[in-house]
Amino acid sequence: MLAGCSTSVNYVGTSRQGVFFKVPKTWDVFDATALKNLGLAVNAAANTQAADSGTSYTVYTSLAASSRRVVVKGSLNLFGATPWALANVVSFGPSDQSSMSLAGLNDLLFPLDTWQQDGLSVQQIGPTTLLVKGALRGSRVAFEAETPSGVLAFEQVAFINSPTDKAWDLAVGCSLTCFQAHRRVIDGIVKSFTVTASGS
Amino acid sequence: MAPGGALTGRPSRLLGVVGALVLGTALAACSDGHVVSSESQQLYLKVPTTWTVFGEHELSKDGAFGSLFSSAPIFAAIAFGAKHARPGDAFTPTGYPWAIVVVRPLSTAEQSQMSLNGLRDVLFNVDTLQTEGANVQSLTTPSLLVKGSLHGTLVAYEIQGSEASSALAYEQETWVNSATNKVWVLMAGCSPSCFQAQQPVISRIVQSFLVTDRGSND
Repeated sequence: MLAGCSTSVNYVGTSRQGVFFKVPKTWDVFDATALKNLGLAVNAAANTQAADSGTSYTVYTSLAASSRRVVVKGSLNLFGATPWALANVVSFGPSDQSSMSLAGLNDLLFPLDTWQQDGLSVQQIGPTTLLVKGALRGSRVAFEAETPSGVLAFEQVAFINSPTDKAWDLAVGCSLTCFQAHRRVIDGIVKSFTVTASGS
Repeated sequence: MAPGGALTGRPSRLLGVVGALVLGTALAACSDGHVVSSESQQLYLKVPTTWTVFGEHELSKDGAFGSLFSSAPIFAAIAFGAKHARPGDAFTPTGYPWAIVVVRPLSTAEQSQMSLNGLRDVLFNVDTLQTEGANVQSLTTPSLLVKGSLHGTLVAYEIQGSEASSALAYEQETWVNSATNKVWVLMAGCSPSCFQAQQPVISRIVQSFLVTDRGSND
């Protein structure tokens, strides 16, 4: 994980996976130990097993939040008044590779389809923006979602490469009232999301 | 889930369908084959010299072709491995091979839902045919194709409709751009027995298919 500084922002990301985004300097960037404690650390052994069995797996995760209060009793609270930014890089197995679409990118971080099928309310806030950057294609979209654990609002940006075997995504959000109150900061973080991988 | 394809309907009806509309087709005969190309759509393929190629003028006389597509093709051309063939013989289980090349835009819904699996359905909606009772058999393992910002698939199927005479076998190469709003498709086939006998010719045509579009505006 990279966490560099400038006058007002911290850079979060990894050159190895070709991705970074900027968060306000006042935000906390979680290190490997903190991610491990939250159960978000990449598990190399599990990934090897997933690769062998042809299933998809996460190769990179990073988390930043406006405050450490995003962790409540040792768990990540995505539904509170603390904005967070969660990024993933996912390697797809053959099945997901064959079926992945631009619409499918919406479900990369949170299982919105499953929540909807379970009768929970998932509403898109604003239009979907198609993103094309060379061989990378993707979308930017915001949702308000009722989940089994609470209601959250988030904006998500995701890219997929030409072979459709790898995706990069970032979601930034918190509770609905928090999301509305921090809209400008969230928008800035989402806009800063950059994938430097070639995509082909 | 596959998006709605351009051609839908029961195999028996579908396999009897006709026609085409060609815009700006460039045909050139050389010693080793007819070149079918489009500069504006940045595609190229080669069929044997003995084949009959239908260009814009002939195909535009057949209005049925355009009505088969949910979105009108930007480009289409058809070639047949027989002198007596008519444009309407495309997609039918003929005893001689045919090759059809189509470039068409994807609708907003198709753009959102399109996957590598879905690319097989952009001309024949194989999923729909299967749902409607056709026996669909994959003749090869689908291949993933990647060329810069373009990605695609190479597939081959045998589709058996309700009547034995309606069986069709074909090979299809499909490319989609990074924005997922345009596809380039080449389908070459005929009856299963013809397909088997003509496999080297059909493979050569498919191998000659070249899309030179960069697939991205960057």
